[in-house]
Amino acid sequence: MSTPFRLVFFLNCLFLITTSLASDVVKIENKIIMNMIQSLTHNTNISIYTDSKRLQKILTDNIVNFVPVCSDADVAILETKHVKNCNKLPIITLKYELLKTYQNSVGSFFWQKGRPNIVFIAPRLKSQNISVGSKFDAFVEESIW
Amino acid sequence: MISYLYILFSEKETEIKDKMISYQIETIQLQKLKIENWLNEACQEYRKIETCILKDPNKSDNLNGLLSILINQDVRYVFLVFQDSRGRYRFIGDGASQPAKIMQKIDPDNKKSWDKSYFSLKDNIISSYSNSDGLWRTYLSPLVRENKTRLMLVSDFSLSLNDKIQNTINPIKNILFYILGVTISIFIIGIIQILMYLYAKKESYTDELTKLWNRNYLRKLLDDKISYNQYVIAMVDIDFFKKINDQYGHDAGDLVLKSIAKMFDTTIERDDFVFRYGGEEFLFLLQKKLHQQTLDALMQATKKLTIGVNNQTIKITISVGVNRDLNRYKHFADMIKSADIALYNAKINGRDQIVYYSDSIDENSSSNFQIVQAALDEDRIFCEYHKIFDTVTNEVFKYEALVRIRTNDGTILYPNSFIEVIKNTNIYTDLTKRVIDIASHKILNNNEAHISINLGLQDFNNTEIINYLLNAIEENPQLLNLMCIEVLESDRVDNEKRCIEVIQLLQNRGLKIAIDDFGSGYANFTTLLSYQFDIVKIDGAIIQKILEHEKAIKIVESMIDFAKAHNMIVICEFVSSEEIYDKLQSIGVNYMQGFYFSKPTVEL
Repeated sequence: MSTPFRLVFFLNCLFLITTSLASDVVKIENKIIMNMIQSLTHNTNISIYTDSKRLQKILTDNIVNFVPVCSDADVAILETKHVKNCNKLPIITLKYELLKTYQNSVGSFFWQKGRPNIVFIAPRLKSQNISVGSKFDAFVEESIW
Repeated sequence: MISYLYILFSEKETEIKDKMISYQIETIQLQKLKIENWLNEACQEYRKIETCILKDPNKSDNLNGLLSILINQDVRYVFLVFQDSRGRYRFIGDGASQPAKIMQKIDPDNKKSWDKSYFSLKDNIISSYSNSDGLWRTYLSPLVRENKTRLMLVSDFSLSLNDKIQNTINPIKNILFYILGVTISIFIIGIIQILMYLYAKKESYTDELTKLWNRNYLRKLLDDKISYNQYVIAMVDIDFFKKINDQYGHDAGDLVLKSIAKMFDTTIERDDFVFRYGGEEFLFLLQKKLHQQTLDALMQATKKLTIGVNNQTIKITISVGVNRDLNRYKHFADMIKSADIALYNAKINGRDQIVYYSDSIDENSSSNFQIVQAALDEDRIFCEYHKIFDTVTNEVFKYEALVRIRTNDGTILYPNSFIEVIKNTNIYTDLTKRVIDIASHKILNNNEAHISINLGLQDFNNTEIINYLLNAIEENPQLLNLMCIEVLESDRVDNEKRCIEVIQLLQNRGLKIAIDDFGSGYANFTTLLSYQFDIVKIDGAIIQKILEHEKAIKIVESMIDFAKAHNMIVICEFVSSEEIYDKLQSIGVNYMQGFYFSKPTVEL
């Protein structure tokens, strides 16, 4: 499938998710973030470290296990810029600008202009030997603006 | 009209909203023009605007400033995007207080609509699906140069604008809705009223018991000018219906009426009519061409009809009078009258038959029902009194009241011309009650007069007659000693047990009961096994033969002996000569009645 098609396909999926779950922001966030997490690790059960209390209410899937320290986590999802000791694992930020703060952040999910946005940074994925799969091709960027 | 307006208003709501936001769009358009002009001037050296803006932060600030003017309570976000070579939308400018990074990607919620607007070079308003920020609509406006979209201005309207519009529209919609609701309610009430009216109308045309059409509907049909030459009228009467009521009770009578009505309704043809015309009387309007087979079918069906009452089976017959020539009459009442005459003929000729009206039966029948009814109504019923003599004291023992009718022309009608015909009808009951009144009145106004009135044995099963008699006695107890009942009967009675009980009841009250025409028909010794009479009146046919036949004398003697042995008084009637008188006296008859003594007279 060519890139434009993949882009159109995934964005349509996102569109459908959004329209079908338009009234429930939490469900949208859950769906997208879970997709992103699962693209970063192939573990059946995923340990997550997060500084976001809100996220702990969003991710309620059984396969997700919240851990108190980064060293025990598979993935970190960060909302603030004060987290230390998480530089050895892939990070998803909940704000675009935190991509610059955390050098090992590989992607971001955030709301902008009322719309859910997904970004993966290609060089960082590569440096951590992570492949997010073709469904996220439309969201992979070469640089951070 | 109101519902049309409401539906139209609802359908046009989107259009109305779009029109109402157009003033916002006008403002955006004006500012867009300014932005275009500024870009043309500021970036005229650059092939790509994004390069121009990226290179000079001042220009980015200026652009953002131009965009920020558009942001207000109703316009949540205003930003400029362009589409890169990979089809992704990227920020060029943002009017927000914390603007997005230039070249940062934005994922549209409806990329298809964004692309459509971008490539068609046309403005578009689309609904927002992401409502996390309370967005309502998105206005997409391409900035076009050389027939190509360079940038697209995206303006997101907030829900507050929608609320404002809704607050304007809703009152109008509500008013229309309430009016529509009231209109629909009135309409529904109207429908219900119409249905209730139609139901009441149908009920007013329907007989409650039998569910057949009633006289009201017949009147309606007549008003609607039914075509008489296509129909015949049949008057149908249930034979001996009064007997059924008296014997089985009124509930059984109702059941009979319902059963036969149902049978009538299912037997007649589709275009025929059947009406319940009276108590047990039905009027049929039958199509002329099929009336004979319909009538035959009715007779057959009636014969087959069995009605179960209290573990007993009732079978009935009907008498039918038919008038086939309706055209010769001016008025419907006359058509019915002729059918009635034919019915009357069916009755007097034995019932359970169909009689067709003709002029000859009209002359013969002379409608005795009407004669008796008219006589009752016009008080032309009276009694003549025939003396019964006590031959020992040579005084009047008592009188026998004999009913008469005086016609309008003064002619006197005797019972043999009308009694048999009106038997088992309401007219008969009314006549009997009148005779009770006349005799009672005569007794009360002639202190010492003993008067007997004639009742058929079957009359003792007629609760109306018996109750009337009992009431008369209760009101005037002296009648007990002065009134006697002569029981005449030539036919076997139904419910004999009841007759015996009633006679016993009357005797217990003090009334004397005589059996008339003893020795003939049903009035024989067998009868005396069941009843205890006070007086025996020996049949005149036997008395008349005592001069010629020795046997007749023997019969009379044996009757006298029997009567005396059972404390019954013997009266011999039809004593028409001195010889008969002497003969009877010689064998010990003390009480006699006949023309030898006197003829019946009005006065005592």
